Amino acid sequence: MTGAGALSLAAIERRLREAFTAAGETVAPGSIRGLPWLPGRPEGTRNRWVTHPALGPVRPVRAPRHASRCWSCWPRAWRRP
Amino acid sequence: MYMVTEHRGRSPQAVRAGDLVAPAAGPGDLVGTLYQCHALRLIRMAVLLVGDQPSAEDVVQDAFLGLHRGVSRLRDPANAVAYLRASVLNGCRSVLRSRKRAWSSRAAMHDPPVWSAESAAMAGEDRREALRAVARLPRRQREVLVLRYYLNLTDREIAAALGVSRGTVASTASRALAALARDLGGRA
Repeated sequence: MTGAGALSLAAIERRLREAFTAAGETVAPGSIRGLPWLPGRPEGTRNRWVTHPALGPVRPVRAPRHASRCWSCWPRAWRRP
Repeated sequence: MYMVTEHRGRSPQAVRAGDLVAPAAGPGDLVGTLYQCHALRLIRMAVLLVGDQPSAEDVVQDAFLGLHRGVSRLRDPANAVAYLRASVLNGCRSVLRSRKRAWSSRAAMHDPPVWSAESAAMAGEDRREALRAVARLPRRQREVLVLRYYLNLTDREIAAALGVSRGTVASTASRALAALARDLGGRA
């Protein structure tokens, strides 16, 4: 750091601090994204894929196409085992 | 990439920046509080290292996701910020590595965006010149300078974040400052 045109350490440090601060301020506080959606269910909600042990497993919300149209099939399609 | 949700945590004023409180309601609360206090500063640090805001935000969000996954294994909440800092540094290195790989497959080299587009709005040619000089430094020297002169970390904290000894931090900073003095002095 002893060259002819070399700057002093204090001057370099001051320029660095100023440059970093100015570059950091290009990121405005309101421009950053919020916290991403985190894995796992929200607090206070039940896991909808786990049912009571006395009940059967979770069935699809809609019955298959044939069962939803066939009069003899649709009651069984919605009945729990 | 991620679904963006409104965060329902405490207000940023409720917790001073740099202060860490024990998780009151659960691990999600700790992560939310940390995000409110430290996300902006970490994103700014990442912008200085990777050069553009979207990449910096991705890196910081990945770091917070990693913290959320491992928060149950965190014994001391005071270590969370150091973990986040190291995680962001690693993420920045990954981004730079993948960019380098992409650039090496093409003929042309590009400047990091922050030194051109983002900094166009920045007043002061000497600041831009200083940032360009920093961008020309090797990666570790750049990281040491950003941690020391932007985050104002001590040599011990920098050593912990980078996983090197304090002597290495001091010598790296000294070499970086010497190179900057030569570069900026020669251009002045």
